[in-house]
Amino acid sequence: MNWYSTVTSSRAKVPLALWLLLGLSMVGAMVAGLCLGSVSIPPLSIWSALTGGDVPVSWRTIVMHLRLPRVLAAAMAGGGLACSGLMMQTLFGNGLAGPSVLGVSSGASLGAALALLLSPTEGVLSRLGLLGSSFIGAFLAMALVAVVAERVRKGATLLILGLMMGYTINAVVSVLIQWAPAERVHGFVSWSFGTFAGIGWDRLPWMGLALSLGVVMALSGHRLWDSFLLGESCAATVGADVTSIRRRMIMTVAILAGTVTAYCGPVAFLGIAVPHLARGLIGSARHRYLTPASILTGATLAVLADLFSRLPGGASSLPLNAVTSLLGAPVVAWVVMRGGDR
Amino acid sequence: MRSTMRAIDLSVGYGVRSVVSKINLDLYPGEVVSLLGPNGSGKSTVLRTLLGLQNPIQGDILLMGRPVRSYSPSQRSRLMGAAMSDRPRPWGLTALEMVEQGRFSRQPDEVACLNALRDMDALDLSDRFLTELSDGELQRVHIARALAQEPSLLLLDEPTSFLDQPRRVEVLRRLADLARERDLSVLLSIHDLDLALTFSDRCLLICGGTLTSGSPEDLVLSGALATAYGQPRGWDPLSHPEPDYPPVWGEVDLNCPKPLFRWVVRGLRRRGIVPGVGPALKIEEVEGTMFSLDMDGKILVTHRLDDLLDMLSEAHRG
Repeated sequence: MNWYSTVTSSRAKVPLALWLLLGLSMVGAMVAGLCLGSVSIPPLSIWSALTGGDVPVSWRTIVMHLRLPRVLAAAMAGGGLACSGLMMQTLFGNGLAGPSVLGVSSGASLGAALALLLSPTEGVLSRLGLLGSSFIGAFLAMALVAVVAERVRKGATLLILGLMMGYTINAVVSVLIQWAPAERVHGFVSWSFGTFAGIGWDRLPWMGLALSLGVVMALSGHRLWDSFLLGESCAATVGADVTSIRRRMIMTVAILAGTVTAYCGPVAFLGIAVPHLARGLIGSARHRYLTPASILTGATLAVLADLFSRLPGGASSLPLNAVTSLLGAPVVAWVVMRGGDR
Repeated sequence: MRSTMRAIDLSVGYGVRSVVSKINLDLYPGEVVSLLGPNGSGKSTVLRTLLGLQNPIQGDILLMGRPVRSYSPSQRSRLMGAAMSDRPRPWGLTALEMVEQGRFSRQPDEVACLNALRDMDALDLSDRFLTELSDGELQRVHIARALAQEPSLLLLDEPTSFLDQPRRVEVLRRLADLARERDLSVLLSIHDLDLALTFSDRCLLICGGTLTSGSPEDLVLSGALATAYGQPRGWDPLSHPEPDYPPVWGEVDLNCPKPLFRWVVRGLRRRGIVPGVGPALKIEEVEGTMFSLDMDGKILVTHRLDDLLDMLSEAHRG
């Protein structure tokens, strides 16, 4: 028996029960998302509808073509946003970082604004459409952040520069809106509210593919991200290649946040709020636990937020961003006040 | 003997402004070297440059005989561990998890990490969150993290700054032992001259923008230490300032065992009494310290010097 065998390592390992709880609440939220709406469908009928059992045709249409893609899109987008938010908070060493802060959403907005408001009848932009141009916008914004990040070593400075970039781009977008014809402005405004609707089976697999790539990149690098918790100079002394890790993180964030924003619009608050919630649940900063927990929590909350936004039913549904902000802001305030500086 | 690290004509600083120049140094295995210098003289800058966190203005740094820039970050961290003056305290990591970060470039090894914590007398902290630790505890955890890298060279920026007095001695003694046992080179910057002179084999002194090397005693005798700190030539770095004592009004015939002498004399002088001719004050160690004062045949006995002095002052006034 060695001396160290007497040391009981009672380190906070995340209990299995918590993972089950997170997984089950995501599944529960998704089932609720399928059941509830303007037409209530009992859970058993949902199962029949999915497996091709005996249900009314209208119910099958609602489940298969309206609610299922919408719930799946919401879950994927929520997970992706939460994951990218967590990565950004680690990258910049700042709990206020998130895709909506560092100009990624703004970049996507600019792309979307160009596509929707100017919308040339022919040429490259028209073929790219809303999706392509907003993704390119998000990617260019993140690339710009990356270039600046090579020069500016300090996380807080970079965060402020990202904020300023966001303001600048938003100003350009405002000017574009001012000049655009009124009927086109409506299309842009409804995109900018964020929505999980309208992502049909044709686009869902592509969104899933891009997000899976980002999530795999985020999960596989957990040791690298952990070293960034020490701050850059300390990370460098333990042998972390700070520059290459930073590049990998920026790449991952761009893929995740860019994809979600392109498909669903700039969804507010999930990216910032969910990592804080996951920290509160897990009680550890290690990305090995925190990344999957953020993804599961983000997926659950996005499905619930989407459910809330369409609860009023019919055309009077609430804008998604209003719901995420109303739910997210108090939660962040509470967690930050309780947990101190994270 | 082959040096672990060698600096040749090194100038360090920021941009074109050089802080310390013409640095020529060799660090050898098994040796503790102190880097001394007043505040703002560039100790941290030298350490950061040697560590590769910032580029030198001029000159070369060789690590194990090869230019330090030819190593990859992970190769470098296997040879060189460091605890710099910024001691990050991230939320949500335990002390052991922090030490495990030291294995970033090596195989994860919990036993090595626990060993490193034990070396720094911090094993009991292993499950505590960093946010719950005191500054001194955090400091020991960071040194343990550097040790977990199993380096050949350890660079420490003020490793004793937040520690209490006994622990300063303890940590430096352990570092000196580790250096000898594991053939580790240790370069540390330190403000406590007393400890630096006691525990280091060699001192490097930053004075007038360059580096002087020598044995601790040599630096004192040559007056280099006094010059660097802007003190008169005869300055003794080991002497502490004396309290402002009141004027002397009485003497006692002191009979005191040697280990207590220094403290008893200080206590007496604080109240205006010096050892000399007068009432016999006998001090014995029975059930603690016992003071017995013979005042013209009347024996006063107390266990506290303060009480005895109160009685003496009263007798004097009366």
